[in-house]
Amino acid sequence: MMVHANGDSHGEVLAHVIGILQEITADWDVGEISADSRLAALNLESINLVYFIAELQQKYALEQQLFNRIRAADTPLADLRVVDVVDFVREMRGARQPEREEPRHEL
Amino acid sequence: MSCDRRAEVVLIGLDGATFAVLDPMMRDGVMPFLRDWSAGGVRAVLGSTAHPLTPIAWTSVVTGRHPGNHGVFDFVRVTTEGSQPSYVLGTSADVRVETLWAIASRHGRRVSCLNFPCMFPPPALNGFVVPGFVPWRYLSRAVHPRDLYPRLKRLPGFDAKGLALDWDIERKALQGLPESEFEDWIRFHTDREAQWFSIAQFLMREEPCDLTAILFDGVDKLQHLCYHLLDPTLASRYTSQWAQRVRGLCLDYFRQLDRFLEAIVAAAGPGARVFMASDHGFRAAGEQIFYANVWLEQQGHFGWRDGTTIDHEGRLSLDGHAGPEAFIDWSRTVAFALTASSNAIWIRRGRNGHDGVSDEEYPRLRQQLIDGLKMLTDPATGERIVERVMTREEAFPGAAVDAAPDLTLVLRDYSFLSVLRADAVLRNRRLPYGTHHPDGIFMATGPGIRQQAELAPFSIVDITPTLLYALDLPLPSDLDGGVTTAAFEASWAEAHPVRHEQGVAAALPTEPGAASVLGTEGEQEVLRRLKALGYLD
Repeated sequence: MMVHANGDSHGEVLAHVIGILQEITADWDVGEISADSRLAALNLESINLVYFIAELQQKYALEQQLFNRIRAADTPLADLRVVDVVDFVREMRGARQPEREEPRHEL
Repeated sequence: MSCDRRAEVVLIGLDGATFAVLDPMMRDGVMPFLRDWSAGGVRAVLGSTAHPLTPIAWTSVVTGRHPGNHGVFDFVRVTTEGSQPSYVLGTSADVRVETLWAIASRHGRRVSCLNFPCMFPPPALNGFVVPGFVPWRYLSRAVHPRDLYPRLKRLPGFDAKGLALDWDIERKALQGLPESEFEDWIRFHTDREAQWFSIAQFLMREEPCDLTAILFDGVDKLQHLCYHLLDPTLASRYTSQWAQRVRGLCLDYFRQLDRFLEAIVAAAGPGARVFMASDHGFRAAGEQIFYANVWLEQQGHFGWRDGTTIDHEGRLSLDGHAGPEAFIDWSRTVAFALTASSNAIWIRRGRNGHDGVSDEEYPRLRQQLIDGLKMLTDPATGERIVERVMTREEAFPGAAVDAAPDLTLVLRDYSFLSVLRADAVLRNRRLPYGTHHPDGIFMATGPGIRQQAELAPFSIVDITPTLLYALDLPLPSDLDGGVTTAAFEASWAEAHPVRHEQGVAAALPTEPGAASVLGTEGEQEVLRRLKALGYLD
């Protein structure tokens, strides 16, 4: 796996996202959380999902971009898969850093 | 880790507190500490924001900025761009300017911030943050620094479910509870307040900060349901055993609060300056509910989604997490009320190929709505229903004005409108209800602060500059408020002139939520998706 210096490779973002979801679902059994897990399957109230996205925005310095991106996708938040969120984060990270000099590698 | 440090400044927030309730509590011996403590300092009526709502007003308190500049206009952030307006719960990313705590941190002061709204995700302050309005499942990730949470869990009686806010329960309660549930509701908030006090006491003892701030929000919660039992001008009308029992529990809440205030002031020590403030005041709502979308439908600007049920229960909004699409037919709607809490009407703009009114039509429609709302009268009394209609430029001038609702209403009784469908524009309320009033409270004591002085009313945007001044810190140059120098002894104020930071503004370098933050590549992607979905030609 290629690892990006700034921590936003697919694998790193995926690990971070799954880590958050594991922590906030730790008190009950939701099964294994994987890239293909749907957020709706985690039995989280919608407010937790909103806070989840807000936390990711802060972590990756995305201001309101992640909410805007999800809205533009026109899919209810709960219907997204974990990997969709990861892709949106990476997409927005790329959108914010056009001036970066480090070469970017695909997985 | 314990040390000898003591708080220089303490801010105690009492959400929704009003002298109409506190003065009788002090006079009648329910709050003896507050009576004696406040007698040794200053007090004033504290004017709230144009729309006196908790997240809007507290953000003004802790930024020194009007909402038009700080960017918070409701519990939710409304997005009107795109095919259909929508909203999402507000977060700290919505606050476009520096907070009091961030400014103090920047100057090397240690701060603690407990239970304030719009503080999640928590900023990395020099100190401690336990945000308010966080669901219990997220609480462990909501505190700053993260290693604070395990320490909080070890506090006696700590219960995350009891400490955090359950939006479903709160929403249900604010729609009106059956009498049988009042007592549990009051006890819940009494216990919840005890947990916040326990955290404040723990931090003041183990991690003392230069600036300690805690918000007790049970005052607001109890007053929404029980104001008629707390305001002595109304309480005498309610003489049933149930009413007496519920009033007794409310008084127990205020007795406990008084003990907490005493302990916090004692922990701060005699060298501290202690400020108490509310975000807004309270009063009894009138007997009728204004169904704003019903009126808009009658004017031809709003369409109900097929199957939307008629409200017969005096509710203000839907239960649960249903969005506006649950009751609004967007194909027939150009003006709408989205949330009860905002008391606002939005106008759907036809931009970027979306349905809505054109820029040319907008001023005419907005004025038409203003005129119609001003002429709207109660058929039984002839009294105007809407006392005042404010455009976004009038209510929320500032850099963030474009994110504000198009119209903000002040109803005749300061109550909140309903967004639901009813069989008439006005319907009777089922139960007595307390509502927000712009006149809140301010009290302060400590070194350099005048004694036994009643000040002229001033604005909540003056709190942040006043606290920075009390911390002997310079003020950012772009605060909307100013130092309430009248609160300080003349000799002290003379020896401590107000200082300003040179060339430092409290605005953040970027504006969260602005369309431009997507960046060129992101905007292109959004446009591509919107086109694919048929929203753009």
